Amino acid sequence: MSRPQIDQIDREIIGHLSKDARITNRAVAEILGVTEGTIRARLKRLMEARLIRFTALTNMSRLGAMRVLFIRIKAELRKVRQVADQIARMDEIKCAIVITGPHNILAMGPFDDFDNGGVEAVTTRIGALDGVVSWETSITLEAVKYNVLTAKILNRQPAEDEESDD
Amino acid sequence: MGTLRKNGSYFDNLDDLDRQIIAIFKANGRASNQKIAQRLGLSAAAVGARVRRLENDRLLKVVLVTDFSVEGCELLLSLGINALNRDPRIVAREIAELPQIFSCSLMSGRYNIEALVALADVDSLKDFIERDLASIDGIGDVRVEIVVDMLKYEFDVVPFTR
Repeated sequence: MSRPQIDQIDREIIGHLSKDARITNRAVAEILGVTEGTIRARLKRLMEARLIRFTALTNMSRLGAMRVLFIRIKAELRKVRQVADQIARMDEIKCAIVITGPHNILAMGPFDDFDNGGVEAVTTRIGALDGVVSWETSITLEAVKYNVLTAKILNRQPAEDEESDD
Repeated sequence: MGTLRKNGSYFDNLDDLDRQIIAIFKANGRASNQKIAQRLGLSAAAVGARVRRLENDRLLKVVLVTDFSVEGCELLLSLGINALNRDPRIVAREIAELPQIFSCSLMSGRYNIEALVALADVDSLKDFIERDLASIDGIGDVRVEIVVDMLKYEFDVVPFTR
């Protein structure tokens, strides 16, 4: 991963909005002693460069524990990329990475205790992909540390001229 | 708002307007109450009240997500760890406290503990393994996988208990 062009002001803007994503551009501008236009322009650039994204996190379940299914896949070497691409396109799968070791691909998908067979379905679909040799699954019993605020941002978010107002 | 069933899943606690608000925020977390109100035919105050309720009930959290590259992490590892002569829950908590640990879970399966590690560069690997990880008691075997390429890593759900 190459280092992006980010300066100290960008980092401070990211820092404040990481604590509270709904504070206004004006509030951030006042804290940092710059103009509102500066904040707007920098956020636009950061969003267009796919370095940040404003989104909503939701809970899967009020009472049932959320679990994450880990699927490690051994694929024919020349088909690893093709298999990984297909897995990454599955909506239920939130993580698809190519790794070294006995397995070539690690995929993860969250599900809750009311899953109704979704885990089985996604595992079966992965197992049926061309090039998959074998796979191994494991399930989280407890998330001890869980970071959802860092991601691989795939889609550029359009920077609209709007912001929070409360 | 739908009734909170004892065994209800997340979506049972939301009505149509809640779901529409959440969908708008998922697409654009910077959407203002005013803009949402215009789209849904509500007042901005009504939207504000709903958003506050969803946030207080921990059903919604609007966040800024940053890309891995912002942190400048050049090397990502996936660790599988088996605890030896020690409660894996305690070992996992101690591992999770290391600043390089990005996520850490107790698992069913071949390993007790799975962790994702984000390191600045290859030079940080030696210190991480030999100094930081080795300082924790009760780590039996460790499987280290190197992340060659990350195609997707974007979780948009969080566990209820944190």
